Amino acid sequence: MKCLIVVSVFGLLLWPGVAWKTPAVAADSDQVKQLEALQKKMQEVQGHGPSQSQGSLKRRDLKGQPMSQGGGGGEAEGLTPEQQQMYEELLRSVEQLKQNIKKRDEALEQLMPGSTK
Amino acid sequence: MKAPAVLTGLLLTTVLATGAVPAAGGSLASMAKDQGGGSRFKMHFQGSTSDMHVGLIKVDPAAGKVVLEVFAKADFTEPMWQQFIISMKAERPAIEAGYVQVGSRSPMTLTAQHLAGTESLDVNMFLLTEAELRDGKQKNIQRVGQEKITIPAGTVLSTRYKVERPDQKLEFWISDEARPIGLIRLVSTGKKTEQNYRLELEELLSGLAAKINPTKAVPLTDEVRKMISAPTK
Repeated sequence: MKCLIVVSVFGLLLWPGVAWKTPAVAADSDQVKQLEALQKKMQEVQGHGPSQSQGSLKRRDLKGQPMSQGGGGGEAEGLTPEQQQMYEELLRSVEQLKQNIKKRDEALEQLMPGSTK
Repeated sequence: MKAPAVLTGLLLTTVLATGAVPAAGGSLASMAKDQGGGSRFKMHFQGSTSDMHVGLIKVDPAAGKVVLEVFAKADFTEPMWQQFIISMKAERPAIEAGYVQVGSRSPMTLTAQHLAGTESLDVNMFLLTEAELRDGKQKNIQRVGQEKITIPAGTVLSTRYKVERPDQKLEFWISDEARPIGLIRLVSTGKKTEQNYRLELEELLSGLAAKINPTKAVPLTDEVRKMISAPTK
């Protein structure tokens, strides 16, 4: 008899507080939008190559890597030189934007304590 | 404006399909072919979307166990992995141990209280066999019927189920084509903000490896404990 087991990955239930907090002011800023756009591009670059189809659903082989953002192992492996360059540029841009947001929030926090919580 | 918390109170249903062998060990042996398989979902919550993956990391027929791992990442947050060891020895599966890893911190052991569930949702409600799904033996879960639905991963024939609770309604769609996880879509609606979210399959994954090494797990720190919601028990 075929047995199908449905398991709640309730771990996701454990997330509510995972500091999924976005700095209050940053949420509306252009920088945040820029960062989101860059991160999206990074995911696209990381998730390089078209998904292979098997049956009617898209499929991708992670080749022994752990799960991470973009569906790969977090490393931009197997990219073309152009993709690699784009990935590195995006990575630098993201880091720069993160630093800018952090500095601005620190400044805001000094002016208005609690404003970025 | 206070930015919304992301990925709050998500309930993800994972389906493991096993073979046609009556003995638990035999069933696991047939399940082994799905080892390394998983699903990548996109979660929609309060206008935000987040990446979320679930994988069947390991199937150990000899030990009567399977290992599931979950990855989640929202914008401006640290990535989180959770791993669950599920015993298949008894008639019904049971969570034996769980671990969490946030960012580059060491993996940490989840307490029994955390494994029991959070936010008033009983984990055991979602530990089901196919027979229970088919026959509706498991309380609260109703089989709505078959539907052909289109999600980002493609169009697929699925079975729709629903769970209605006083303050929350869960609907989920499961398809055999999405093995080993099986979940195609999940929609939660409720009175609380964190109870309203939607999950859809983006693509199936294969060749997955574990991120968390349980042998390196340390006790849950206060910092990470605060990151996860309070257990129900």
